[in-house]
Amino acid sequence: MTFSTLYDRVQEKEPKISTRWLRDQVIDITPITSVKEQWTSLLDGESIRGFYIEGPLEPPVPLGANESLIVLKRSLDKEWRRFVYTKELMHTFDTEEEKTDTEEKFDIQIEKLGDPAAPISPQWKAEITAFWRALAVLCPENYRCEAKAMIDKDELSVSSVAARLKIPSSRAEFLFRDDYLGILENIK
Amino acid sequence: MQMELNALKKRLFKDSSVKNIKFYPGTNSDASPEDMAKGINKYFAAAENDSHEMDLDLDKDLDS
Repeated sequence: MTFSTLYDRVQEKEPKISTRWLRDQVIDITPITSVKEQWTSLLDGESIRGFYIEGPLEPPVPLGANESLIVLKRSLDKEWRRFVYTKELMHTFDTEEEKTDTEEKFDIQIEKLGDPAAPISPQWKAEITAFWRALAVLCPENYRCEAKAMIDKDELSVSSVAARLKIPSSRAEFLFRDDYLGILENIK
Repeated sequence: MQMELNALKKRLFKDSSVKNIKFYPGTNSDASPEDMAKGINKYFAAAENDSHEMDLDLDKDLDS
């Protein structure tokens, strides 16, 4: 089963979508057997808001094969925590080609962070895909369509949608881009 | 010198054999990969002492 299975299951839910429910679905759908969640004030929010690691990983945070770790910056507000967590959770759907499992792939991925002009690697493409997948699973399509119709008639604001979804307004804006459905088709 | 990046890569790919690592960048688009690696290394250093105090409760801390 793939991301489309999770996407279909989300369509049966009403917002806001529980991140615990999403995590449990991921464990049901993917080879991942557990996700360890932590937060820390030691992440500098200017350079990083969270990260995802898929084991095996040695102590002090031991992970077995098919076990994952998601760490968030502690001072994020709940809307950002939910979005960053969900985006990182979506990396459980990365393809083998997209996974960063060698130093060489890590270097390529890191290079893109420091140089936006660097070529788009499969690892970087996975970052973009995970972003859009997070939006797609935090906002059921029926609700998005209803909200869009009301926004178009000035009967609803994006910030109200963000409050309902409990995600940052700046991220909710992406749900109403003209190319949203086209992007969705490419990531399902 | 990329001491933080090299230390992180050693932890992930030499001391361990992780299958994937991904990041959510911070608010400063000019932040360096070295800064990012520094934060992750600090997390692992703190986890050496007590990892449990960093545990996150999705129901309480994200969904409530």
